[in-house]
Amino acid sequence: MAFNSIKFYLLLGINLLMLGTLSLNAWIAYHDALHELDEIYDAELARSAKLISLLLSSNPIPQTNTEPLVIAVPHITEMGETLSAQQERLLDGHKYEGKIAFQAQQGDKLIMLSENALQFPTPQRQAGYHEITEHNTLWVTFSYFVPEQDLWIFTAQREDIREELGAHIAQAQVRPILFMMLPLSLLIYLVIRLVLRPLQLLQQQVADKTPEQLHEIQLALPLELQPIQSAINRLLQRIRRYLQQEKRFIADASHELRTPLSILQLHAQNLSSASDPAEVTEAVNAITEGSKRMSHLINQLLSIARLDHLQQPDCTAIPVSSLLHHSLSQLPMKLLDKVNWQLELDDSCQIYGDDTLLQSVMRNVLDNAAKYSPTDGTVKVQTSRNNQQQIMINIKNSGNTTAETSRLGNRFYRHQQHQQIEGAGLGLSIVKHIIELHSGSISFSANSQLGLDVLILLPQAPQND
Amino acid sequence: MRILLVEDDELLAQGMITRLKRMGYQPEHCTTGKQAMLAAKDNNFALIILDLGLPDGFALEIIAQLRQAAITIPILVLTAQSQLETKLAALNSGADDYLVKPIDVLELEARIRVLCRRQQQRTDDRLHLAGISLNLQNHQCQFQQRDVTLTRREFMLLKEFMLKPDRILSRQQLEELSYGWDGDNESNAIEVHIHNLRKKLSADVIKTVRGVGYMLVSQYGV
Repeated sequence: MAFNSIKFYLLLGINLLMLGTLSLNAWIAYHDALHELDEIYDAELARSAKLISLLLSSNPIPQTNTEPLVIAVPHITEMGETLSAQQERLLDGHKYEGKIAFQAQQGDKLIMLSENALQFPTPQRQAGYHEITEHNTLWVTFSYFVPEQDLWIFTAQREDIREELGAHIAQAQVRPILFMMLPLSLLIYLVIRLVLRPLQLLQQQVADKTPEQLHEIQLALPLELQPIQSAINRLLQRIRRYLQQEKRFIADASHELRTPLSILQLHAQNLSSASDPAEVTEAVNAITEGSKRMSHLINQLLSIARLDHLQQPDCTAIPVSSLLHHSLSQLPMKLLDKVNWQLELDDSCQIYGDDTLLQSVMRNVLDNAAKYSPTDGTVKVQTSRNNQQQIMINIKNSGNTTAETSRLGNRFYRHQQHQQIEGAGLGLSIVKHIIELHSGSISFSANSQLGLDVLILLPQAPQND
Repeated sequence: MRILLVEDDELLAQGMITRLKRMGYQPEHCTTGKQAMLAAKDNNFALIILDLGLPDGFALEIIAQLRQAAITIPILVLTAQSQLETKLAALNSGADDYLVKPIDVLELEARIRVLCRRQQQRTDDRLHLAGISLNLQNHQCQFQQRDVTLTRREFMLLKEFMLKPDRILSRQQLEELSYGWDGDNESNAIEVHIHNLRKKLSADVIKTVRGVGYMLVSQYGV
């Protein structure tokens, strides 16, 4: 299993949390038990002290005894916790007796003590609970004073039995849970696997995608994964559309290149077997014309490819009138003379855009307007502010056909009646692309003079007041 | 042999016409499907060469319409469209062959010959009749084991006679075959060519049927 995985982190997290909870539980249980035991044993110490004092009061030890009375403690071998409580209850006492000790003093004299208290240091004569250390063992002691008899009773109990018992109680609580830990972890692992299964399915589906196989993913996924699925599907759709576009473009481009290529090949072969000068001239002219057409087409295709990769145009403020004048001056003389140009330009309008790209747009549109206009027709160019944000450029020509306006700007579309006019059908598609890059728009509509109205909207340059 | 060329690109058509003429065919050119339909119905063509991207619509429908009108002229589709679907559609609607641009003229020439050969139910491109042997592939001609050099028009005329032996071909038919629609009907060019053919072969090979036309006699010399 990889370490940087949801499955791993979930497993680790849940197991650690479980372990932590168990530990805390054990710790609390231990301390609770210890506290309760303290109270019980402390009470017992006090009771024992009082019992001994009562015993000594009712049955005093004769003053003549110089040696204190030593109460023997049965020596029972420690066998750990291997015996049951029943087995530990022997006839002559309990192994824990050695862990309880006492001393009794009357006046300054030690009058009675248990065998295991022989080595005890002189206890503090101060009523209440104390702790003393004897042979590295901690004892809890209780001092009890009976003033009538000038009698001090000291009872003591080894601390470790409290701890031992406390640990036993805590263990008893924790042990079953501890035993459950492993199967529980395993179950958690299985649950996580089950829960993460849809994620794995989704991953598989995405991994199986190839450019040829970009169908949408339709899995019955849990709520959390549905947005991911639909995001992936949207991406797939975009990729699919893009691939289709590319494919169509390549098909169209190769289709369009085939005709000029055929012209070149055919006339070249004709040339090689030409027998008279007229045939040679015909073939040479056709080859020249064909290669011109081909280089025009290739240039257009290259600029489309360049535009496809251009993300952000290099924008500056450009005065519309200078843009249009500049573009007009670049048209071939033949076209400039062909029609009457009517310019109505608003000199204050400024466009925010890429000068080079927009010039090619204007050149193209003006070129088309003149090219598809009858000789001595009119091309009218108007500019104005559309609103605060946009500049409107309106180009109208007169013509002789009703344009299929909806297909204008599609790559390689050419009107059937214009097949005789030179062109590849790529110009307007480039124009459309550049204008869209500027977040502008271009629309076409047929006008009453059988010509075309081209309406271009481009963003206005921010004004410096 | 007349061939109908349907191609909307002027430059390409011009080159094709030059080439076809040089190959010994009489091409007629039209640029739209509508013109092609009319031409194919009214004239006697040996072959139609058809571009699919015509200005007045997709040429697949034209193929189907021609076949529906029981016109059995072989159709060779010559197009820039190389997709399998288009090829299948064209062949299924009745086209006999499919060539993708750019084409090599040698291949085009060979395929035209193949289509005509099949249409005329021949197995090769050599015609043998009346002691004349004519190779349609390299335009070589022998008469009684003697090489004869023919001009282009003479070759075209002789080919027509040999393809239709013992049948009268009218002067108008022959003019159309060798000059096409643009031919000068007033001239006596056909007579001149026939005169030359008779001189190169034998005076009796091509018989004049007064007031009707000319006929190649297959049993000549037997």
